[in-house]
Formats: sequence, C-alpha cells, structure tokens
Amino acid sequence: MNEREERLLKAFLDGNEAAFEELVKDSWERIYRTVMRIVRNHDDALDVMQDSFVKAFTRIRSFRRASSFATWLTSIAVREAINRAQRDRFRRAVSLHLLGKRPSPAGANPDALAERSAIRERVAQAIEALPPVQRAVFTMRFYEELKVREIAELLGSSEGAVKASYFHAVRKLRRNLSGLR
Amino acid sequence: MKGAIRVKECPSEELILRLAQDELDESQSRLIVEHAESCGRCAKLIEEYKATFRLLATERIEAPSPGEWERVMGKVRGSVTEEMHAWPLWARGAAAALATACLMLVLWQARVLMTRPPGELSGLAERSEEALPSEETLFASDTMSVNLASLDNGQLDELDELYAGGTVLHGSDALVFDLTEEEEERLIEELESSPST
Ligand SMILES: [Zn+2]
Repeated sequence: MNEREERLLKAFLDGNEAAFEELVKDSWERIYRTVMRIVRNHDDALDVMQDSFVKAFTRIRSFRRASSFATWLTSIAVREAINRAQRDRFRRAVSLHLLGKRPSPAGANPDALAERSAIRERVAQAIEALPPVQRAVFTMRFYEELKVREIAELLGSSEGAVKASYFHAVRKLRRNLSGLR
Repeated sequence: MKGAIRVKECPSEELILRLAQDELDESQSRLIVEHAESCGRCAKLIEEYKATFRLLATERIEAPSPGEWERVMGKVRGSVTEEMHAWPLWARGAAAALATACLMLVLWQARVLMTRPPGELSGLAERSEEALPSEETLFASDTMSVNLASLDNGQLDELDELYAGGTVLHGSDALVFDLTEEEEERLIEELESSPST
C-alpha cells in the first residue's frame, strides 16, 4: 500500500464515499484492458468492471492490506472476468453451431467488419479460442507483463499451474496463427 | 564433449518459447541458437514463436471514454445503495426457491439439444429419439433431466437467461454443461470444422 492508497482508504472507511472512486480510478484503465482481453467484448468488460467495483466496495473491510489496493481490486476483477468468460463458453459453442458455424465476431455489420483487418481478425479469433483461464494468464503475462508469481497470487493459484497455462496458451496460439505471416 | 552432446539434443518447446520471448540468459540462448543452426525443426519452431509474438503484440485495446466510466460508476453507486437496503436473508432464500421451481417447469417443457463430445455420447444417445447425424456432435432430445442441485448460481443464472430470453435459440435449445477444458476444446474444434450450411 502506498501513502496515497492508505490515505484514500482511511478516508473511505471514515465514511467518505468519494474516496472510493479515487482509489478505483488509479487502476481502472489497466484493469479494464486486462478484463477486456479476457471477456473479449466491450459491454461485458464494463459489466465486469461494475460488478468488481461493487464487490470491492462491499468487501473492503475484508481487505487485509497484504497487497496494494490496486492488486486486490485487480484480483477481484480478473476472477470475475474468468467467471464471466466461463459462463459464456457454452453460449459460444452454441452460437458457433447454430448461428452459421463460424460467425465473424463483428457480425453482419459491414462497417464493423471493415474495421478489423483479416490478420487482426485471425489474431482475435486465436485468442478467443483459448479457455478462459489460459486467456487470463496469457493476458497478464504477455500484455501486462506481470511476473508468474504475481499472476499466481492474483488467481490464487500455484506458480507451476500459471507456467503450464501460459505454455499451453502460447503453444495453441502458435498453432492457430501459423501460416499467417 | 558433454556440451556437444547437449547441443545435439532438441531443447524443450518451452525453452524455445522462452528464447523467442527473450527470456533466456545469454549462455542458454547461445546453446539453442547453435543447435538450431543444424536442426531445421527447432529453427522453424523458433521462427514460428517469434512470428506469433509479433502478431499478438499488434492487438490494441481502447480505453473506455470518460462518459462510459461515469455510467459505470453511476451504476456502482446505485448498486451499493441497493445493497444497503437489501432483502433479509430468508426472503432471498424464498425467492431463490421460487425461481428454481419456475426453472424446473420451463425445463420440463423445453426441447433440449444437448451437446457432448463424441466419446461420451453413447449413454445419452440411447435416450434420444432422433438418430444421430453422422458428422454431428450434437443430438436432440425432447426430454431431459438436469440435476439443478448440481448447478452453481452462475449456471442457474445462465439457464434462466437462456430460457427466459430465448436468446440465440433457433428451434432447439442447446446446452453444454460441465465440460473439462479438453472436452471443451475438442467440442469447439469439431463445431468449427463442421461444414457450414
Ligand atoms: Zn532440434
């Protein structure tokens, strides 16, 4: 916990609700990026952010201060995002099958379709094909450049499990993206 | 001579991956690079990983606008206030029981298309009146029992939405439950590779 977090947290616990917003604001962009990469949809990502903030707000008294507030909040959001992605996984299988097999995520909207080039589309699809936990681990390691130990802590998992997830994810990504260069 | 023998062996894929990501120290990298000079397989793998990382690095995520953040925080404020005036626990329990009862009723009437990976179809397929299409991994059944007690809240919510909202359902309702990661991957692979209609 840095000094600023300490001060804001104290203010919040003393009844100043606006302090919570300040606390959250410091890290919300970074957390949003991570969440977005896990759930892969802007509206879902905002939903997850909202749910995570509510959880943090209502559980703040159980925050042990072993880590920074930002880390604690990230941990809530990442788990929330993984849950969301897991809940959606059967819907994904369903829509793949019932809605014309392999729909482009941009749907029938030609404008949105034009926005994503073929390569970007393939990259997005390869990432979307990863199981949620692997996607989360990959995101935190590759895009957010977190250490294996930090990821394990955020997920409440072991370093070995994180390493294995990362390896499996990258191997799948390589296979799915080979031939695309 | 020991060093020479080690260079002859192909390094693990994990080491190659870490090399491509610049995570190995110099001596480790050199050993692998030297090996790759005389091993086409490893050289190709290194190139593939490097290319994969280059491609992945191109993905950009745009931050939400200030207006969107304001909306999120507005809803957070709303929920937090609501939480403070939440129903007592017994009332919530009663509401959950009622919702579960409704769900059972819906399920009873639902025509369900249940998906399972091919290896595990047999027992379920026997109960299906329709013949299994040969290349399909899905099958249809007019009745099905779901042990609601085995579902967690998330799954119950999802079921609820699925039936209440009538989302994405074209004639059949489809559910995929409790797949392991490998099962899920296999299923999705099959769905993706099945011919489009
Ligand atoms: Zn080799």
